[in-house]
Amino acid sequence: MRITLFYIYFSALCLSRVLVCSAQTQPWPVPADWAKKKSSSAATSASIEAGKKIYISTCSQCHGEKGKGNGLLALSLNPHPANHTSKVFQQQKDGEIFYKIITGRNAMPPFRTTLSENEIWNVVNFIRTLEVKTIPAPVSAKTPAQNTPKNKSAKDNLSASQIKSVTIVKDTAAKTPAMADPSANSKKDTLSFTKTMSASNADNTNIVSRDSISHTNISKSENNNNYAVALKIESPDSSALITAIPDSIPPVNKNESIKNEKRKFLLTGSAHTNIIVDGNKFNSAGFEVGFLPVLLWKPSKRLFFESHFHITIGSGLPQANTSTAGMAGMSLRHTGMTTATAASSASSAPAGASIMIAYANLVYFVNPYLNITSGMFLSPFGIYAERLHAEWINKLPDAPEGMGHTYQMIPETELGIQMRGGMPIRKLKINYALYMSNGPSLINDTSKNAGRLSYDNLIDNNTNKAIGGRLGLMPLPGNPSMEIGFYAQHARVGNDGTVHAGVDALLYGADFTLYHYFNRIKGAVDIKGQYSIVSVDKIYYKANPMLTLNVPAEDVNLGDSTYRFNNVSKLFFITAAYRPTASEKFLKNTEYIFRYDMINTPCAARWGTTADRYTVGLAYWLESRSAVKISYSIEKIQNTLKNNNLLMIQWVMGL
Amino acid sequence: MAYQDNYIRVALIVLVIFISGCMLSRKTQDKTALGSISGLKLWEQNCSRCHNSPNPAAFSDEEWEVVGAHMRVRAYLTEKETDKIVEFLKSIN
Repeated sequence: MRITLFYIYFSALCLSRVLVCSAQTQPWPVPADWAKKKSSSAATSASIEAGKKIYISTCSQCHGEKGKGNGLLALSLNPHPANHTSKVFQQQKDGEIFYKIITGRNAMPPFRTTLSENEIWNVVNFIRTLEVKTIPAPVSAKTPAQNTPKNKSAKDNLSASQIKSVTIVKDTAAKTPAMADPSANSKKDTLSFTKTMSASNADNTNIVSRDSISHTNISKSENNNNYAVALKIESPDSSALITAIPDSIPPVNKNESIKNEKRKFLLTGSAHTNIIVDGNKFNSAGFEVGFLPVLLWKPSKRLFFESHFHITIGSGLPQANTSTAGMAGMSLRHTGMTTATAASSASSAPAGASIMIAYANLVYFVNPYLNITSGMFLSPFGIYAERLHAEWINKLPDAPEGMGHTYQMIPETELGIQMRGGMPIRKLKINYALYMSNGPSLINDTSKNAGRLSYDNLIDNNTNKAIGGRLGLMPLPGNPSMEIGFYAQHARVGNDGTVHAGVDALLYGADFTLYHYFNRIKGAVDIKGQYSIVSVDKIYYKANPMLTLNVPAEDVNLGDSTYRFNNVSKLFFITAAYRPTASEKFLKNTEYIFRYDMINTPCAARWGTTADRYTVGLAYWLESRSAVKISYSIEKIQNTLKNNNLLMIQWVMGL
Repeated sequence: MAYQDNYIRVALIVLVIFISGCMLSRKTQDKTALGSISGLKLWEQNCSRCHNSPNPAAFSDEEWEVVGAHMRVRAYLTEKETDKIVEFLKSIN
């Protein structure tokens, strides 16, 4: 039953995604003859109890167990589920509620096919009791109101008739809660209290026991979308309520003009620890820890600054280095060393501890669809570096082949200037980024890295600047959950003043993103893929050709002992993740991940490698930005006898 | 490599013209379907494309504004989308 209902709700949810979302403010008219319909089930305790059971199993997923419209699925629904504890809702006649349950609207299915008339009346009877669910403790003590026959009837069935008068007044200074109108009631024992709430969050905490309501007066004041609702309650003995009510009133002020003057700064980021275990023999393990703060400032509406540091300790396993595990081993990046040294060191000897600036850039919001970024920023070259590299975002403990910080084959950060933004075009949307930066530099020494590109180009090695960009298309109308991106960068990579001055590189690729709920498999599917190609001009390198067996004779220049090769590298990854939307906590928080990635670099280069890797992983989300992840990867490297397998465990915490 | 240079430059010019054209026609875009999507839906769709949507209560109103600016850059959001998402998060945090 429950599963069926979940299925129904998810069908409704998916349907609601397609519908235009303007229905939130639309009224829901009920035909007059339906509104007059009388209940065929008396509001007895048995009826209310039966109604409660149906409500919990059928309605609470969206409307919440206490009817406040805050069920599990409410966050995904638009229009938002009704708040059954609101006064507007409770003012409806029984017949109106009955009609709405049987017909349904938007995400709400019509229940005439699944519930009998009597069952629906039981639900209506239960909904009528919702307001008394959170009676403050003192009220539960015996009050004279409970002994009044008139109030007895009010307990089980509060309808519009119980509310003697409703007045709506405009108020220009709705800052204080005391909104009660003294002229409305002159009785000495009148109790007045006010509850102010934001119009968009009409989730009322219930304060009043209906037992003690004999006269209700609602006044509404409107100021900057804030509504103050004042209830006047007169009761034979209201002393119990007086002590209870003030504690229940939430704080009021949501004054925008005051807030905007506050300094806007946020220190956030993440921390993680890794355990990396040799996946063949399980005989060695390495530990790593990282603290990665993100500092964000927003001095004004148009100005913004962001910076990110990597502070890491530990080196993992030596072989983890080539598969770019975690954060280890990149200490020599961005420290001002020559690019060749940094690149060759980074791939051979990881350091124990390091501090690195991952990015630091200034942003100016030019107009709604354009912003200018200047400084060191994450490269829009594909989606991994820019969007997915953070440990609390990446669903696996390590980076795809050729990415991450240790054996980087494509750009991850740029030092330069960028213009970017998003733009709706009819029902579709495009994302664009265009940048100019130092770009990569060619390693052209005699080391084994000759021919590789280094991306640590903080001091440009030539006067030419790299130009690159990315264009993302969101092909689903009104829905940004799918994106196809194309990106490219062209850079002069040769050092000025050397024989390699004027050597160019062209880097390009495509990426794919899809995130969607599929009710057929009752869960969310997340697919991300990226295919990148790095192509460098075919030139001669001074590195000793004798050390490489794969060089054809025509590419070797014996005169000066140099050789050349087709310098084209290809990188690919695709990650598919599934997270069920089960009601059971453990299942709901577990995500299953599969990744295939490969790297193919020139076989004639001494740094060349061809590897395929299959990774399976499991992430248990402790909360939205904290998880324990475990993965096992099998990496097949060409021309090696055994696979390079790794078991990794990572605990990441969003800060 | 000259042909590659030309290819890229032509492509960039086309891209710039394309973007400029879009900028000029932006006045009409508020009427599109994207313009009518609520903050709740934008929050759900745009955030979860890359990461789990964080608990709205995790940050204060001021902090959400800063996060909004951060993600407006990162996730290619328009000003309107950002404002709607931030206002929604501020209303339920």
